[in-house]
Amino acid sequence: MTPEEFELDKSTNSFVQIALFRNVQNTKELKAMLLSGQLECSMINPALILAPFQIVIAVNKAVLSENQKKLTTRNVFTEVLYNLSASKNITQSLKRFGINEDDKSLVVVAIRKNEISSLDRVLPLISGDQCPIGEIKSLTDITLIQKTYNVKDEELKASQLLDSIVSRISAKDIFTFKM
Amino acid sequence: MENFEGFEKVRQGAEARIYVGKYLGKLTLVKERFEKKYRHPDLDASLTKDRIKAEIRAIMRCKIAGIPTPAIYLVDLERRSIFMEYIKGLTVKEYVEKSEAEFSEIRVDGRGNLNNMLHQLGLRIGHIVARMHCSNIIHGDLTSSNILICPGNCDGGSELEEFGIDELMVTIRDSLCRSPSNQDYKLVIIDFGLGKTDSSAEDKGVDLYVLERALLSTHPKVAPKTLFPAIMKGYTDKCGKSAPEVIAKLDEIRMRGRKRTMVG
Repeated sequence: MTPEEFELDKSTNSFVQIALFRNVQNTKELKAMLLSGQLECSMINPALILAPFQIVIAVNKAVLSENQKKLTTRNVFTEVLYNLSASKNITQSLKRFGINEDDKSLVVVAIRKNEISSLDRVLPLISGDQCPIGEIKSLTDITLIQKTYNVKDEELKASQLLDSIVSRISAKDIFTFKM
Repeated sequence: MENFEGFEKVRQGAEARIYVGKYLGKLTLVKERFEKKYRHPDLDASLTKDRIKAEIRAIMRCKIAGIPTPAIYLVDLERRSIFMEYIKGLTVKEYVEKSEAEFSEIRVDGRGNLNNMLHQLGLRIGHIVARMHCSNIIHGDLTSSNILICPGNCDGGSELEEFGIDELMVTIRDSLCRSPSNQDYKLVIIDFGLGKTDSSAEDKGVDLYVLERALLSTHPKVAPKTLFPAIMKGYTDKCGKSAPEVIAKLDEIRMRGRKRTMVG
């Protein structure tokens, strides 16, 4: 199955590739490889993802920060996890949006620039079933998302949850959200 | 905007240029605060940054308080730009002007219907301004061009389909006429370029005063007797206890103008 691909800001010449996996057997090893910097990708907990657009917004911001030499975290892949969170606490953001050792499903995010992508090297390492990204809906935990992003019902009277989330991702350097 | 293919310039003001185009798959509006050559570059850069930040803060505060504002897709201080959701709708200015023209043409009793509809619209505007003020958000430049009216079912940014102005007019008018308090249409506040957070009655009074002056000059036929009184009624209804103080301030500001005298 080919991963879903979205074009990022034209100035970056980059695309984001997103793939969803279920029934993953080797999350523990994958996490170890991520931590030792062997995998050029981000792995995200799907429970906190409402729609691919949420990832696209976070990755776009991360790639632009990298180009502008303004990364807050170690590399562009940890930056994606940090960006996804509305909090400025790096450790907490990576922990919440990253994967845990006993997770059975995960979202893999890689960046393709020109014809070069790190995804081809990552995908064979995952022992699990790749599914269409549309299936993420069945893994999304809306209650957890609302709690994590602190979106109250009052706000949802005037805004879609996805809009509230992407706005928080975009504005977090400027606006301090109550967590 | 340099190196930006696929975007089309649609407006230019004194502070910023507005571009519309597709970005990350969504119909997006870019507000670029361009360089002012007459300013020292350092001062210009820091003023621009501060203004973009103030605008974002006001938008987010409104959003959290349940006041419709565009979704933010990217804040790029380097490119002096805010990328946000493009909202399909009419400005209240466009809507009122078109309605005035159409109603007076078509029907003999056009005035009555028009007034009724504008009264409903005014109430809703009053409610929304009251909610902003209750959250201590000052817009700073309330005019009928900075309030959008759009059908409630419009999911901004989602599709790049063409929406005819006439079609929009009909949809909006239908929902306004059908039942006064319905949620078939929504009002979205835009352009927080002069926004700030302040809890003083003076600032809220000035906010209303700016709106009144803008409406009186933009819509001289309907603003004095219909639109603005309805806004004030809506404002008072929703604002509760703090309304009298703000309205007293508004009266005071009407006498002296927006700026306080520095004498004494």
